[in-house]
Amino acid sequence: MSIEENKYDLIEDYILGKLEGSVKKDFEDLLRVDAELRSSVKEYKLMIEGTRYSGRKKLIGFLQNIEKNRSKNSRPAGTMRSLYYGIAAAIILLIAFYVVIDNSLQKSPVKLAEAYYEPYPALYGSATRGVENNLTELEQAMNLYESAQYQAAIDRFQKLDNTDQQELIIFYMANSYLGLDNFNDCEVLYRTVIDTGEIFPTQAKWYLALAYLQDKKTEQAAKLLQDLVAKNSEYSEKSSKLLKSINYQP
Amino acid sequence: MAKGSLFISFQLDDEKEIERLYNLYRDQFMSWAVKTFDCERDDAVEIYQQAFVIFYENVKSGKLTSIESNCKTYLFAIGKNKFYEKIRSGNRHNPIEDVIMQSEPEYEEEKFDNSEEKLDAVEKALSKLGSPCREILMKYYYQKNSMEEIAKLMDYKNASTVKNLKYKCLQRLKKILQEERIF
Repeated sequence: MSIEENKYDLIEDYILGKLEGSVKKDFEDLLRVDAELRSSVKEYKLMIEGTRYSGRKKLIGFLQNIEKNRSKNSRPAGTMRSLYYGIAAAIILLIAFYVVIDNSLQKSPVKLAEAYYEPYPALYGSATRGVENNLTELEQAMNLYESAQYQAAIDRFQKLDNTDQQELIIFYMANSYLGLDNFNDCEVLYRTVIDTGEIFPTQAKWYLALAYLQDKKTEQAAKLLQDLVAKNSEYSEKSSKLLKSINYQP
Repeated sequence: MAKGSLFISFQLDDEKEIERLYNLYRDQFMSWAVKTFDCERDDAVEIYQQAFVIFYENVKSGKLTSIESNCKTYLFAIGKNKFYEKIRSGNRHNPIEDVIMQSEPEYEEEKFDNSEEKLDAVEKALSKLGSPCREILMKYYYQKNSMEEIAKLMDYKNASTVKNLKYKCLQRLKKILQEERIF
């Protein structure tokens, strides 16, 4: 852990009221004389409060949506019959659509993989697009990745030598190769993340499974999907559905 | 459902559970509020939502574990206080209401020190920050999940991985705010 991270830990503990006794007193003494520290505390406090404020607004929005749905569900009786007919017709159409799609998908693991594929989001988002001059090499690579310029992103990732970000770089390079349908290179990189990574092994398993399906290696995909189901991760449900859809029999 | 199990499930960050709990007491609260305070239904909904948010935040921060009343009593008590605040802000101060309020269970409502303008700027910066940073910060600072819980919820290897990521995400957020000249 760097000195900067240690300083940040201390600031955060102070803001969250976790400092006690002499440590707290020492910190407050330091605050009185250190303008830079005071400024840092102020910045972190704003970021923490802003995050809580945003969370509160999100929750209120969610509750307001519940109310909107309640209003929709309690329409006057006169409009209900036509609404029911409409819903019934929509359901029939959906079922018909699902049966057609499902049948066609069941026959094609490649199409299934494509249907389930969504690019993994860029870790830092597109925060600073438009001010390219101020971006670090990693941020530039991330921006290229996020805008689906996968070959350019790979070229940029390959030039990076951030030893503390190796796993992140390898994972995003693998994602970029997958975006280019280069299954051989993405497999090697995903395997590296699965075997040695700390942050992205679960995500790597999911995307490698999709790569295998697209590359018609159903058995290898199924093994990874079974792992994901067993691990009870955010990919469990999707993996379970996908396993059923490919109708894999070991 | 027993009080304990309700509380535990409420802390699971499951939107369905939040919705279930919101709906569980909503109609009773509405009937009670309209009858007791002679208010419009829209006002009653607004106050119920405010009360629910405070209730949620108090549960998540662990402030509610020592309370002797159950969820419903607590929600209604916050709601009642919110109605009194609303009445007071309309300059209809009634000393009897203050006495009633003193007998209600205490709750803590977090107020922000920073201006709404600055908080809005952070909110915008968070949306620029994108996923998964936004989720990590939200889960840690608002939903009060531990590092271990976030690791489990977001499929990271362990708590120290999340801690490391959270630090990087905050540095990134700080940079965005600097670029936006908020700092």
